[in-house]
Parts: sequence; C-alpha cells; structure tokens
Amino acid sequence: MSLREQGLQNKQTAPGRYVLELKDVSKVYEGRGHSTVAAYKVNFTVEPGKIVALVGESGSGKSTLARLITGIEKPTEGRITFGEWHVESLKSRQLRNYRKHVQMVFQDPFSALNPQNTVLHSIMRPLRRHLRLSEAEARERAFSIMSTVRLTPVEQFMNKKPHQLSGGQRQRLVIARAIAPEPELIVADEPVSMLDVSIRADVLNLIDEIRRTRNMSVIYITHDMLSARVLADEVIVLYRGHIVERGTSDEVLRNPSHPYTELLLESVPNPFEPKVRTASRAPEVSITRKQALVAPVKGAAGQGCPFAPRCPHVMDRCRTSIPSLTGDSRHQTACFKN
Amino acid sequence: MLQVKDLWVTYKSRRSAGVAAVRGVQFDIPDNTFVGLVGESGCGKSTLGFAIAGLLDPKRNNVQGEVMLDGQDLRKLPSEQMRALRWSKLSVVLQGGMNAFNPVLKIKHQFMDVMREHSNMSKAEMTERIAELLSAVDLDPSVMESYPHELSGGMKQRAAIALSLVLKPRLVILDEPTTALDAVVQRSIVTMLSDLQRELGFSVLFVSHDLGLVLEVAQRVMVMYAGQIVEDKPASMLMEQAEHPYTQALLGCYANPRAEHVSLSGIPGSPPDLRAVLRGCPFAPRCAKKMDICAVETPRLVKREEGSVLCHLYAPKEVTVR
Ligand SMILES: Nc1ncnc2c1ncn2[C@@H]1O[C@H](COP(=O)(O)OP(=O)(O)OP(=O)(O)O)[C@@H](O)[C@H]1O
Ligand SMILES: Nc1ncnc2c1ncn2[C@@H]1O[C@H](COP(=O)(O)OP(=O)(O)OP(=O)(O)O)[C@@H](O)[C@H]1O
Ligand SMILES: [Mg+2]
Ligand SMILES: [Mg+2]
Repeated sequence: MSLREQGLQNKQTAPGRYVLELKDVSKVYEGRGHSTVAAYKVNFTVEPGKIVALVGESGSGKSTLARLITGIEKPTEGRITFGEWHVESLKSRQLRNYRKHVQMVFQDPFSALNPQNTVLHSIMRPLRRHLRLSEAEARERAFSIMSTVRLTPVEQFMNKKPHQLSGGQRQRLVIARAIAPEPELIVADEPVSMLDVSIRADVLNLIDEIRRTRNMSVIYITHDMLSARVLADEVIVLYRGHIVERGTSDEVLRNPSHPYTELLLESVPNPFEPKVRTASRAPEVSITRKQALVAPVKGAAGQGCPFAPRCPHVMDRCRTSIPSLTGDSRHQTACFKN
Repeated sequence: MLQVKDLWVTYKSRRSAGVAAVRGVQFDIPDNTFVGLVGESGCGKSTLGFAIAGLLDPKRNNVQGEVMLDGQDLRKLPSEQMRALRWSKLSVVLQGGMNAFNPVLKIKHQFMDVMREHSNMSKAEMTERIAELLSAVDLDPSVMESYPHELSGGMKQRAAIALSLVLKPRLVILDEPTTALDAVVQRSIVTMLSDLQRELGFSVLFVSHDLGLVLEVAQRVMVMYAGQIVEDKPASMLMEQAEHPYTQALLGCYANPRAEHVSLSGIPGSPPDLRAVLRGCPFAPRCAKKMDICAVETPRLVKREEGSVLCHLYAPKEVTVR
C-alpha cells in the first residue's frame, strides 16, 4: 500500500486523530534597519475536534501564526507538530502530503483565487485530488456545499469566475473549497469578515457541523468577538506577537482580565447600547490614540509587557519584565496586576 | 453633493441573461454627510460604488441613469476628465483594497504617484503629508518605507484609507474598509474619519456588512436588497423605527455582545436570482409580513419626512411616485 493510500484509508477510518502543538514558537522578520517580532514564544495545543479562536490587534501576528502552522513560512525558533509531522522541518514533498490534511483559508479572498478557474472547478478539484471522488460524486458534493454557503442558484454560480463574484461570494467560495475535502485541520484567517450576520451564521454552522461529524480541528482567526464566543471552545488573545490571555471562550470573552482584552471588548460596536455620535466620544478615543500610535513591533523584544505603553494600570515592573501566563487551564492571563 | 437618479447596472453575459445588480437606485448625499450602505452579501453594494466612481467598463456592463456630482453628470464625462477627478474630487477604497497596492513599490511611492499627478508638492512636503496621514490611521509613519507584503491585512487596509484621503476629496467611497481591523483600531479609524469628515465637510459613502458599526458611525443609513435601496433613514431612527421588513429582519439577527447567552441566527431563505426580471417585491418570498400584492406588484418608493421606504405595507399613505 502506498503512503498515499494509507493516508487516505486512515483518513476515512479515523479522521481527526492529530493534535496540533506549538512550542515556544517565535517569528522575527528582518527588515531594513529594524526587525519585527511577529510571534514571541507562542505556546498552544489544539485537540482534535476543537475550535480555537485567535483574536487580537491588527498586526499582532495572527496571519503569521497561520502561515507557520500551514508550513508556508518557517518559524525563527520553536517547534510546530501536527500528529507525526514536524511542520517546521518539512521538505516540499512532505509538505504536499501535509497540506492534504491541513487547509488554509486566506485572509484576502481577492488574491486567494485563481482567476481562470470557475467556482465549480475550484471546489471539485480538491475533492477529486484529495478524496479521490469520481467526477459525479465530486460534483454532487460540490453542489451541496455550494448551497450551504448560499452560492445559489447553483447553476448560476457554478460557471462563474472569481471576478464575477462579489466580495462575500468570493469569501464563501474560498471557505467551500477549503472545507470540501474535509481536512483534519482547517486554519481559517478571517473567513467571514465580509459576510453579513445572516450568511455568516450559515457558514459558521457549517464549520461547526463538520468539526462535529468529522472531528476536524479549527483555528479560527477573527475580529468578530461574538462569533468567537459562539463558535470557539477556546480563545487566545494576541497582542504584538504575545499571547496575553487565553481560556474557554465564555470565560475570556465574558470576564476578560487582561487590560487589552477589556479594551477590545469595550470597543465592539453595539447597536443595543448606542453611543451618541457627538464630540463626547472623541476625548476618550484621542487619549488612546495619543498613547498608542500603533507602532510596528520594532527592536528588541522581551523588554517588558507589550501592552505597557498604552495600559491604564501600568506599573514599573511592566516596563522591565514580561509577565507570563498564570491561572488555571480554563483562564490564563499574562498581567502583573493579577 | 452627489445625486444618483434611476441608476441601473447590468453585467452582460454571452451565455445567459445579464445580472442586474443595481435596479433603479435613487438617492442624494448632501455635502458634509456620512452615509452608510448595508445589505446582504451579493445585493449590489460594490456595483453601486463602481458605477458612481465610473469604474465599470461600458463594453461589459450596461449602465443607465445619472450620477451627478456637484452638478456634473459623471456618466457623461470623457474618461480623461473622469481620471482627473478621481482622487482629487472623488476617491474610492475598493473592497479587498488591501491588495490594490502595487507589490513592487514601497508604500510611500504609491502615495507620491497620486500626489504628483494632481499637485506640485515638493518631496519633503509629500513625505510630511504621508506621515501625517499614516498616523491618522494609527500606523507608524515608518510604514511608508515598507513594501505591501511586509504589512498585515489590516495595516494595508489602513494604508488604503489613508491614500484615499491624500488629496482631500469631496466624496469618499469606502467599500468594506475595516474588515481586517480589530475593534479598537476600527473604532479609532472610524472616529478619525467622521471627525475629519465634519471638519473638512466632505461626504462619505461607507459600505459595510456590519450594521452595528454603521449605526454608530453614520448619520444616515441606506439598506439595500437585491439591487434596490429598500430603506433610507437617519441612523438614530433605524434601530427603533425600521419600517422595511428586511431591515427589521436584519436588525433581528444582531445579538447583544454583552448578553448572557448569544447565538447566531440568519434570515431564512435566499435572495433572488439577479438575472431574472423583477416581478413583485424581491423580498416577498422571505418576508414575514408578506401580502398578496407583494408577489405581483413592484412596490413604489414611499417618501418619509426623513428618508424613504420601498414596501407595500406603507403604500396607502402619502405615496409619491417619482
Ligand atoms: N514578510 C514580512 N516582512 C516583514 N514584516 C512582516 C512580514 N509579514 C508580516 N510582517 C509584520 O508582522 C506583524 C504581524 O503581521 P500579521 O500579518 O501576522 O498580523 P495579523 O495579526 O494577521 O494582522 P491583521 O489582523 O491586520 O491581518 C506586522 O507588524 C507585519 O508588519
Ligand atoms: N463581473 C460580473 N459579472 C456577473 N455578475 C457579477 C459581476 N460582478 C458581480 N456580479 C454579481 O452581481 C451581484 C452584486 O455584486 P456586488 O459585488 O455589487 O455585491 P455586494 O453587495 O458588494 O456583495 P458583498 O457584500 O459580498 O461584497 C452579485 O450577485 C454578483 O455575483
Ligand atoms: Mg492577518
Ligand atoms: Mg462588495
């Protein structure tokens, strides 16, 4: 039996056997005159069938972690394992095999699609190649996925090319293509950012259903706190490459304890508590803005808490040493105030 | 001030009927106004933005109607003149604007290209202006020395917003400009935008799927469904006094993020096939308040003291046919 057949057979009999583990993963981008620490000693595990949400600041390293986990880039330090794969040291052939089990949904649906391929072709291809379905089977499966992500009427959308789709429709195509082959792990980078609440609910329910039936693991990168709370088992909050808080999604998002997570949740637009569109809001924001021109993470990492420069509770030691995560497995925070 | 009159856009197709993505849209945006445009994915929001900005290729699309900007019909302008207006009078941040940058040019050169074409600033002046704009969108000015691939999705998105403001245009169309931003940065950027908008008196058409955000930042909200604007209201009234059943359903999908239990819900059913000719109200098949007339007769725009609504429910009252 070839490796490939073995892989497929295992896949069919025992999906979702693998644990994803990141150990002290760091990524430094060297630039002209400065370097950017996009990930700093990141540790976490994702059990089979679990959904872990990565949330955090824009530029905090979420997409970087996604690229490291899917093997698109190599970490500067640390180890990433998924089952038996040592992702950071895979050679290109092994990487191809790895990618049959791990699918990525890229953040930008405008550049993720081949402009020549029709919708149907994009969804059927991985079904034929990875699951080895017959043409007819693949077609049928593709149709059913298209209707779940509401690329309907199916016969209208199947022959469209990406440029003939709206932004949200492209995003739905990218998701459909990634979940169609029922991978063991899906790394979804802002998969529903252009979808309105209505379609968003359908797409997220589909992801949830597949992880239940196929035991698929999901890394769900998002700026949408509400969907993180509904969909994810665990939430990890990143700030400038550091994990500042983590825990079960209910715990972290309902009782945030890191000052950054608090700020993040307070900032979510809430039509139920309308903020008047007057100058009264401006001062509060301008203080944050003044304190916190979001500078790229430059120079020596590891001098202090990454949030110290804009933290309302900052103390002396916050500027000199980095707090480590403390707490129990349900809720951990990296902050000296605790 | 922008006036859009009876605008229709159809994407032509060789094999089947064209997709009529914008169907008889009509609205005004006065100076110094922040207008939000919301609606389901695929309902025609970006197409409307393209049509206003004159970005649709007449060979492939059929555009009809008027787009008047300060008394000039943009649809009749030769493309040369239209190009001269772009950036300086009207600027657009396209959806997916994060990949609109040229990958081989540093961010600053992409700003300078636009500035050089339309002004005669010195290099030092340009650099200063770029730094100022980048700080306004919460980016470190050193970002100007970066190439696009060195920036995160949200950083590129912010740079695109900054670029749209570089020549202080009268109208800025922003199509889903904050999808890659966390709530903190998003809030800071939209606050900056609305402050700047009031300060300089320009107008903004802010396209977004996020009604919560739009309600917070816009003065007026237009709700689009299947190529039509079905409701147009001051933002302050929409939450309590939405009239169109689609708007009501949309609002019903929002959960209070602070609530004890949250769930995600959608509007059952799907939007109509936009290739088809409309008969009756396009929302009727999904509408909770559907009446017999809805399936057969196309509703007419009902004017309100402020705004308008497109629904048979309100027709018997003061109907105006325009
Ligand atoms: N190829 C690169 N070269 C240099 N710096 C990079 C590169 N890729 C990313 N960075 C930097 O690494 C940091 C993290 O970027 P990343 O794209 O991971 O952020 P993110 O959390 O996904 O942000 P967003 O929510 O805005 O997409 C940023 O400061 C970015 O500028
Ligand atoms: N070039 C094209 N050819 C044919 N149909 C098109 C083309 N571009 C867009 N469409 C269709 O027109 C409709 C409106 O698209 P548009 O991009 O305006 O939607 P949108 O409201 O911006 O959606 P989203 O929120 O998903 O970005 C969609 O159903 C889309 O499939
Ligand atoms: Mg990203
Ligand atoms: Mg769009």
